[in-house]
Amino acid sequence: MKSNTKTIFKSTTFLYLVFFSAVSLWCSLIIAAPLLAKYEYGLASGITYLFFSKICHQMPERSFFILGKQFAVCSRCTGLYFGFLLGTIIYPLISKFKSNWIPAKKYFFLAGIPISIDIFIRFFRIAENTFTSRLITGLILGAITVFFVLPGFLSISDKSIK
Amino acid sequence: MQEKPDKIKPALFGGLTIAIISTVPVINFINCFCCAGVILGGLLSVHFYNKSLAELADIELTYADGITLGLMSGAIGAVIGTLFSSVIGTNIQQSIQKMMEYSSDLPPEFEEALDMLGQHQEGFALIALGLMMSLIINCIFGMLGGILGVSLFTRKKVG
Repeated sequence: MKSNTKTIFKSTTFLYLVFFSAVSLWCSLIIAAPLLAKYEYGLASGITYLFFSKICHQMPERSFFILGKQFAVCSRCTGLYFGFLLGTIIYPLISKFKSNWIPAKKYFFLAGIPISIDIFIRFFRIAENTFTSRLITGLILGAITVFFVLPGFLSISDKSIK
Repeated sequence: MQEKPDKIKPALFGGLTIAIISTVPVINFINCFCCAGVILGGLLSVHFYNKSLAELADIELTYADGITLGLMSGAIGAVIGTLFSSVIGTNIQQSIQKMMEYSSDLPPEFEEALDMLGQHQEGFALIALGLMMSLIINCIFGMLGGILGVSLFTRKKVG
């Protein structure tokens, strides 16, 4: 029984590392695109921008810049993806890899409220949102979403989950 | 022991949702919000599968179901979406044009590579490139939607 638990824990750790690597790679690509462009790796940079153009509007006036080149995604998407990375980093500290632990659903909907307000105030022209508001509201939703996604991914290793 | 219901129908429904959201102009702006349309497709497929499970007493929705449904609807959405966009004309060439509008300093090697791809028979290479990118993105976000669906639609604690 003890060795079985150990094996499950080992494979859960392995799956966590796979997940963490994938999320880190995704976030690295967002910053790699402008850096590749800056250092004249044009083809690699262009393909990265093209890939992310399918999931983001990439408007320069709503994007962060590094060394004079824009990120591969806008500030809100940057917040969401880096929030997802942040959530992935803090997940083991909070859940202790308990495979059947997920927070109450209300937290997911609560995390969606700030980003919804930020979008709606702009949509209904009540006020203009800022880089900071888009980044922070994205970070919140991204970080909380991990707690509803990662247990499902980690459950692949747990044979006790049907 | 009861058998689990068929996953094809809910996955097809999710895939069609993804394809429509990805290709219909104006609506496809939803995907600019971290592929929300694809995540929604994955969520919907899990929702419909969960409904069909409600008729069976001793079978529960699992994360494995969510992952499978998300991947299936993502892949179906990518294939149907690419077909739709080839007909409607909202294909990868438009993405490239849009990108060129916004990014005034695109690297010349990249523009050359795109020209080279576009010279192939009726831009077939560009369609293949678009399909490949859609498959990768849709499968990732569809799977996320599927897992989220299981976490959100199950009444009791999963696992």
